Amino acid sequence: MRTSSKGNDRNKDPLIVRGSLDIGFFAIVMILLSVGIVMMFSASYVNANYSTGNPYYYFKRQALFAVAGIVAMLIMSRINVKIFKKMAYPLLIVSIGLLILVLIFPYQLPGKEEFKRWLGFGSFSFQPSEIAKFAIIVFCSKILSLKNKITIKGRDMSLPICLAAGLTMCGLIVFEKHLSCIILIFGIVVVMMILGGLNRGLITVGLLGAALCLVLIFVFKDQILEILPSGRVADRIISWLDKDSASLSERWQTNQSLYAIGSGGLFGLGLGNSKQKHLYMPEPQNDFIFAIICEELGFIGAVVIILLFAVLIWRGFVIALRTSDKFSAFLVMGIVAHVGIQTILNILVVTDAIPNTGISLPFFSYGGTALMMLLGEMGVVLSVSRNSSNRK
Amino acid sequence: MALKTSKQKFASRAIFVLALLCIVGLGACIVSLAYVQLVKGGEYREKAAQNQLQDTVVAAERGIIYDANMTPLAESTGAKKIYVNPSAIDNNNLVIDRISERLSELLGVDKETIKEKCSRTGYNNITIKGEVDIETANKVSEFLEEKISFKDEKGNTVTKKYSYYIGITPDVKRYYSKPYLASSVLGYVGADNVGFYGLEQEYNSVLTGVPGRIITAKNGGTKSNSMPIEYKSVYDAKQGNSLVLTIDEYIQSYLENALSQAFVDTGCDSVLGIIMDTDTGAILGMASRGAGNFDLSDYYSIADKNMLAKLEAIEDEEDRKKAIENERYEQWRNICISDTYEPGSVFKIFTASALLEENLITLDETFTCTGNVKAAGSSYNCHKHEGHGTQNLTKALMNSCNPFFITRGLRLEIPGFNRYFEAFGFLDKTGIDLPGERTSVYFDIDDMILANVASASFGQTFEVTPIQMITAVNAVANGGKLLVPYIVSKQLDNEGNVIKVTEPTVKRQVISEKTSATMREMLELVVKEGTGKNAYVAGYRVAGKTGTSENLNTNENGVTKEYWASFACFAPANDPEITMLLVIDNPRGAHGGGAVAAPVASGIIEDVMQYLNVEPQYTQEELEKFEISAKDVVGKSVSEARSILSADSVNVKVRGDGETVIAQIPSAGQSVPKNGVVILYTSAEAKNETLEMPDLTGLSVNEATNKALAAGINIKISGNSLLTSELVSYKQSIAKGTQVEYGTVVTVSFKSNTGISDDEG
Repeated sequence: MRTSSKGNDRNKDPLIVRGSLDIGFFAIVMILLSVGIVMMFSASYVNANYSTGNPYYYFKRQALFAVAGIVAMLIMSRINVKIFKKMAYPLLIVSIGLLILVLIFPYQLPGKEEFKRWLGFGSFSFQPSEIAKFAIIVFCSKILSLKNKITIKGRDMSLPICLAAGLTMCGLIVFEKHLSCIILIFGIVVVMMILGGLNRGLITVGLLGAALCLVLIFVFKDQILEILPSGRVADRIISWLDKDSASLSERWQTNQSLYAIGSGGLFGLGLGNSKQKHLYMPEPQNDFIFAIICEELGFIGAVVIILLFAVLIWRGFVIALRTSDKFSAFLVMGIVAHVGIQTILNILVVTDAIPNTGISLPFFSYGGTALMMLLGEMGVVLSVSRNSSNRK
Repeated sequence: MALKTSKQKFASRAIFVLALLCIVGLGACIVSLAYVQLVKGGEYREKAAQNQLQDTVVAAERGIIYDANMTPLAESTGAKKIYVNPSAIDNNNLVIDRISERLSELLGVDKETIKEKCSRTGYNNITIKGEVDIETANKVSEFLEEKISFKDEKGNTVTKKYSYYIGITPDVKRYYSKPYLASSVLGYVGADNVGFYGLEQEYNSVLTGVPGRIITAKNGGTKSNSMPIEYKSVYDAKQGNSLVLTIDEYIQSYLENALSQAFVDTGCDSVLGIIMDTDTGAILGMASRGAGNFDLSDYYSIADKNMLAKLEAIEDEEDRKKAIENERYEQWRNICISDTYEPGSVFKIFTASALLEENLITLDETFTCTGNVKAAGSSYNCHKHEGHGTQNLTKALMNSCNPFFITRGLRLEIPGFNRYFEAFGFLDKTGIDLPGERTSVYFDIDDMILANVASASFGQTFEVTPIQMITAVNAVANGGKLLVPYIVSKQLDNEGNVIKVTEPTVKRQVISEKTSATMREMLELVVKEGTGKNAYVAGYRVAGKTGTSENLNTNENGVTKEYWASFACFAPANDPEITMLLVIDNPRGAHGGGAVAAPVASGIIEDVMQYLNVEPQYTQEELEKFEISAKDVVGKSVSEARSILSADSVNVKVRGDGETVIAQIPSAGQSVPKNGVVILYTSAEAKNETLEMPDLTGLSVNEATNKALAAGINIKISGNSLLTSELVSYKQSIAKGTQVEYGTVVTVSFKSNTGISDDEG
């Protein structure tokens, strides 16, 4: 393995970046965040009232983290992203270390004792997988920006290295029983590899393979159902494949989601008027918040929100393409791809197009640390946007 | 391609990923969402509503049916409905077993039925039993507070109150203070608050009211909290309107008691009676026995125990079931309006009225009956084979002479006869506010021949309904107005406000007031001295007409001859208050209207007229036979008492050896028949003496009176006392052999067996 770097570049890079941030991207983040918090409040207050006696419980916490997150985002937007380039390897090692640590010393969240997903001290807890997602993006960005500089026998090794790092993380997360996170990290790595120049033939084969898999699943549904073992993941797949005969409790959340979406119709019941959030939908503020949005804002409102995400991704890619720095470009695209993939997976789960994997909706789902991480990442994108605006 | 710079390549890869994410990825999201929200939206919306809305039906209280004096005959009392929530039970066998066992015990519902209902997952409200009385419902709600524990799928112990699975909602139950009174007039209320037969059917929509609904949005939690109030819609149950009947509980009871007695006495297949207010057409009483009589509170069971025993004796199961089912329909059917019968001689009232109205006869005109007459190409016998001799119209009515009415009736000719037949309402339903009314069975008018008129003019060869008959008789009695009979006088809303009043409706003037007056006089004589004499009641001037008709009944035993004995009357003759019709179907033994129907009528008329406070109009001869009130002789010496009492032509019988009267029976002020006896007690021991009631039946008035006086009891004569010479006693109010005090008053019923026949030739 042979690495090289431009020593003179390092001196030119100040820690603080100047220049104006991309107003379009900032605006779209703020819009998504505001809509997200309003909808989270609407979706959560009934559940909050029943479970904690305080209807503002989730709203207050989310709002606090949002404020902190905005501050973090603005700070981030001033920090030169090159710092991550330097920290790429340590970050990967630390995050893999945390993924191992969480299996040894899991923080048991009340009600979710079976999952080893959290690390925590006292009342503070976080998911190492959240850090892992960012770490893999940073790592891949760095490796890909060093394309043709890491070679074995003249062959570029950047893509295999990215894949290896990604699979290592995924392998560890298997023990967390965190299917959505595995899919997400794998998706991010695939996107990064495509950006890194993955062979078109392979891409085509991969896409066709995935499509073929889907077709096979539906054609051999009955056979698959017979051979699938019982277990948490398998149960979710079974309940997705076999909608009619699946036990009510297994499909409860998905069914309630469909009822909520169906109730919304084209125009929705109006903000705050969801009925399904009245203890029908378990934890409506979490992974299935999009169903409540569909119920209250209707198909039209939901499509508008989907389009907001599309604009966010588009704007991110515009920022990435404007920058001349490869690492920054990969980093920005990796971050918005992460948001995009997560959004797509979440909506497909909520509409029962794919099995329920337990994936949250960025900007909308309740979760303080996740929101802060997300806004921090948005700050990274904004920082790059300052860089590229400088260059003009 | 090879010419592309690495920057261009990078941009194209980025655009590919962008497209993959935004177009393929988010596009798939929109497609998936559109499918769920727009294509399948309706289906999911419905399921969501099923989940969210709890629809509880609150039964509307059915309106009350009051008699004319506002005594409730049928009313709805609060009751409860017990239901289960199969969705909550979710096919938990332990829960199903416990619930079915306990509810079966408490409610008496079959266990398997409950089990089946509990396992209908997907429903959350299945009725186990309605009309549950409050006391039982309270026991159920105690049970609902008990808890059940079981392990769920994950092995966690779950404890639930039974109220999580079972609910109680308000319901109503029909309550009858007198479950046998006017049963076929009232009808019954079946499942789901629907009335069957009678007023419950006819006025179902009025009585039903509007059931209320409570639609609440319940939440998905198990704490049975409902969603905020904005999701709750309450539609109040609207109590049905109430009916006030023209039927008077007392008059109805007099009628029904008399009919019950007649049913037993005559051994008939059925007996029916209708009492109508002469001026308005309002029905004061309507009842029957042998059919159209059942227990309102247990309408499904056969009420007539003798009939039930007979039916249960049928060996073949199929036949037995069928027979019981038929009898069930028979007991619900109101034969007063749904059956027809041949009126026989009662119809002569209308022939006479038509002839008078058309001036086709004078009152002086005479005809000599020889017992047989040839008319319209046929030969007709009179029921009196030796003939009635020479008679005018009045006499002919009194004798119910067939040849007279055949020859006179023919004067009307076919169109004239039919015109009156129709005018008296015999071709139409009367329009009474009861369901199931039928009309007459009459000739095809276009094909009628004169011989039809000949037979019809004395009431043969056609059939009418009892309600048609009484309405027509009523028209003759009230000055010629054919009225629409009715049974509901008022409708009240749930606050008791009158919302509808039935006004008497005159269909048409059939005959003139003058003809009506003439008929009233003649018909009074029929009762005073003619075939109706057994219906006489002193002071109440009963007018009426007897009828006896043959009913050739073809059955497995060949053709058997049965009779309809009927009697139509009104009183008082000069200004009628009530009109009444009695029809006895197939009486055993004596079968004439004058012999079996008229005596029943007299008893009812006396009760009803007294109840209505109709002032009696006694004739001089009636007054002479009237009772006097006993003078007070207690404390006086025996001889003194004797002279006081004999001044009133009262006999005296002394019991004991004392000098002074210490007690008397009947006591002072009580009535004593003229020539009756007052017992004077002179010693305390004598007072306790009793005697055995002698048999006073089968005697003439004098024989019975003497026998009673000799024994030391007082006799009250019931029946046509104007004609003592031909009367024979047939009934006594205290059975022979009963130990009674001296001086007790026994009512002995007399009837005449002479000159009351109007049998068909």
